[in-house]
Amino acid sequence: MSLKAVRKLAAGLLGPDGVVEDPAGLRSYSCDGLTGWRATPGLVVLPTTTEEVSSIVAACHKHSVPFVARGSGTGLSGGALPATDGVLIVTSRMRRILEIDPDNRIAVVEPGVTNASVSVAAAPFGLYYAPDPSSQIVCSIGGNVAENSGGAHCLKYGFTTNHVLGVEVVLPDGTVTTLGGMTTETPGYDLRAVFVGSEGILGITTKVMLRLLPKAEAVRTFVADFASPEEAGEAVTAIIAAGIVPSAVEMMDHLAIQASEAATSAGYSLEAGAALIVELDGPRGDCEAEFARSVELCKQAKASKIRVAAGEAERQLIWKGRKAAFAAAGRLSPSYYVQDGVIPRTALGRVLRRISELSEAESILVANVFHAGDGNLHPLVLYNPAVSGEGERAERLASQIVAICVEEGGSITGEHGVGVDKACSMPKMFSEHDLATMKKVRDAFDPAGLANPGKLFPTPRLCGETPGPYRPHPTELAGVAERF
Amino acid sequence: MTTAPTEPLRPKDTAELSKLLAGMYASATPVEVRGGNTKAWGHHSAHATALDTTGISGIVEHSAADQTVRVGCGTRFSDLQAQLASAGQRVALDPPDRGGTATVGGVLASGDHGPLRQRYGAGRELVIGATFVLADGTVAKSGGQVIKNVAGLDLAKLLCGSLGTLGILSEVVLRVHPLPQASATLTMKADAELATAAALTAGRSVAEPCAIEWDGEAMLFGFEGAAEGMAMRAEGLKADLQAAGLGAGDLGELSPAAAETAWGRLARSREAPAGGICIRMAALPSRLAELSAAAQKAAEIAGAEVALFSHAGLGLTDVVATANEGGSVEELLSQLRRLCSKVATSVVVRDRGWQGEPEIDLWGPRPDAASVMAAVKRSLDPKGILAPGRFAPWW
Ligand SMILES: Cc1cc2nc3c(=O)[nH]c(=O)nc-3n(C[C@H](O)[C@H](O)[C@H](O)COP(=O)(O)OP(=O)(O)OC[C@H]3O[C@@H](n4cnc5c(N)ncnc54)[C@H](O)[C@@H]3O)c2cc1C
Repeated sequence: MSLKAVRKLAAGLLGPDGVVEDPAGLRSYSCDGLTGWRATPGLVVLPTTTEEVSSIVAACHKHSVPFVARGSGTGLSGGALPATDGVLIVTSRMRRILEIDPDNRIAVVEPGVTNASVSVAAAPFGLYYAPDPSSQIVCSIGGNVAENSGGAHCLKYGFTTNHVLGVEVVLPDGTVTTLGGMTTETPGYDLRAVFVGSEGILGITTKVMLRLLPKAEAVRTFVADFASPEEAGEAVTAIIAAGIVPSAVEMMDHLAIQASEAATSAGYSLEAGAALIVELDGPRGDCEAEFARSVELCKQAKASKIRVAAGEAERQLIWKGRKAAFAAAGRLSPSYYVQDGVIPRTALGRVLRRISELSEAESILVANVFHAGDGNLHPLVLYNPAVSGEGERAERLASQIVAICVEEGGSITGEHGVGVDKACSMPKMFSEHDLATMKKVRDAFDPAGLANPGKLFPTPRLCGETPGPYRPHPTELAGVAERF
Repeated sequence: MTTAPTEPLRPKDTAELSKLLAGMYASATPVEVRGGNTKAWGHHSAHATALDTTGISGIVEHSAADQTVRVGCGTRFSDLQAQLASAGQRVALDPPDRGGTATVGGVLASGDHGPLRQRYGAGRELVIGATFVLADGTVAKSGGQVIKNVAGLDLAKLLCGSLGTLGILSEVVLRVHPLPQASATLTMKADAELATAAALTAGRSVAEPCAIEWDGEAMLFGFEGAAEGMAMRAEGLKADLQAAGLGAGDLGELSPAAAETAWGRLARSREAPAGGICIRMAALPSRLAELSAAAQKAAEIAGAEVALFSHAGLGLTDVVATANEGGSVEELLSQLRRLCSKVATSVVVRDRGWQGEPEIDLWGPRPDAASVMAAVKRSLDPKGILAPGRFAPWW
């Protein structure tokens, strides 16, 4: 088989440390953060240089072997789900920060470098890397580029795509090229713009040039309690209407607060219907003025309590409570689905009412955590797999929530990506022509379709003839994958 | 090949645009799209049929509370801004006005921008969704109408700066920002050395200037934000410049009227004068002084008058030039490329103050990625009818 040829080349090139072949080792790479999808890769390689990645990809190209890139494996849409007959190219040994240029505010890093370590390296110069996904301690810059990751502060600072100056990539035929570069402009098409967020289907990033920002002079954070998420949503509208762009506006509903408090004791009010976390940053004078105005607007919007972070320690605690909400959902229920739909923020009240009606109808609890500033919902649909039928009802509910987001003019995913998880939902948002046009761009990069096949685009194999509700993944049917 | 009709085609909506293009694609007729025709950058074909987008105009939906606007691409950019302003908002993009006729689609497709790019990025940062028509008439969209959205490939950004060669933008959704409550402009005299150091310091300053410009003689720093913060920010920048040993002695604030004049003059100055040229050099901000020295030297060799205008915080420097008696802007261009080959990552021609001959090398050395770019072009426009040769000789 052709995989054999790639294995042989990789073994010679990377040595024993760079190749995983034993079954137990291979199985440890069988899923990313979306653990419901599993497949054991045919081969795992851990290259250390661009040249090694290029040689391996060229060999895959030559022998028609599919390949999948993997960073830290924290992705939540199954983007790094391996191909059973292919190679998984893991960047965890490409972890060097190659350059910090404080004058020009640029960091050049290898793809396996973690998001947080870029900011750590930039800190001595008063600089930082703005996109801050909650997974930033572990997730890789290469993964961030592939998913166009956001973070709590993207309302003001934007997403990965707004902070990547250039990417060195290994194209699906093994050629190395640079899209964008070190400078603000490079001539010709902005291919970096399609590469960022392309979920590994256009090639493998081997070096990333990032723009750094000066750390804000001042930061102010407060939590406002409201009787309901709708009322909290109105406070957000008032803040935005006043011309203020907070660096972050996050919300947790009653159930999410219970879970988070049980896990962290961060001091959120257990009786609140919703907690709004508002953070402002910038030059001190601006920050203080907008902070005072935002607090006032929350009071006018009937906040029952305002808790102002007295210092950095309390600010960190508030964020800990918010960031723990996901994991803490495990305290409410043994299992849950996380959705990532986006709605126009002003539709929040209506959408939440519909979600709660559905939740009642299915007798399934939903805890809501949102990036309230930009309408990105993270409903946690809770269920107990041991109770017969609950898993199906939860799954149905989760997919209805996505449909509502699209109906409201929103998106099926705000930051977790499409991957395998939402590939079959793409036709809800995009027409056949839209998808065919995206495929044309993909074909220009990868005519043979070997880079991360089966991701992002709906395929008949994955979704059946028509898009619809969940069906077993072909790998599940073949007995090589299971969904938990 | 058919000959070009004299009157440009002017579809009134996406459906009509699609139909027109499908027809031209069937007959392999080359098409050049134009909005306000204010930025006819890149090469032009004498045989192409002109397609005017100004019929696809008007705001479709402005959702102020969601901070988005959906707009027809033939809408004048200035009209869009005026309408948003009445709701206290704007698109945070300030491309040179060029007589007020520039269209939304033209601004995006050219990648044009102004000083505010320092803070808000270029059009690519502000476009969140697009409906566009491919060469064969296919109507496609990418993105959507919410600010946060990672579903699918971001083709709206790809079309930004593609100069009408990949598809024709028909409707876009843009992120809008609140109009700033207050603004301030500081200025100080600066030669190239001082300008370089001042731009780097300002770029790292917690006073967060939203614009960092050098016009060859002085720095202009723009600030926007809360009224209460303006004075502190000006003081903050001054302190940072002083701490960096840059004097800042004559750093002074302009009156609102003087500021408006200064920014307006700066915007107009980037247009190529009759018979002249505007050349865009991209480099790291720290290399500004070297670019400036190279430009002076190239001007001497080529017999040209040059003026430099730099988005100094961004490392984007424009050389506006005219030839003296016996001199040549073409020579200036090749001298600049020679002298800056290690300093600038690209030296490309933007505006030309003439039409037709002489045809010059607008783009310079072929980049590495040109083969993928050409493949993308072939894939989206297999017959090559959209603005053929615009990026020649690359594709
Ligand atoms: C607890 C938790 C919290 C999270 N919070 C957030 C959040 O706040 N915001 C957010 O946006 N996401 C969040 N995520 C999702 C996830 O962390 C991000 O998508 C992240 O960018 C994935 O990085 P990774 O290195 O783990 O990538 P992986 O999971 O390894 O891979 C993700 C995708 O990137 C591709 N890829 C990886 N490396 C490369 C490369 N070098 N070249 C090309 N393609 C590559 C893979 O093929 C795959 O498609 C969270 C995840 C978890 C588990």
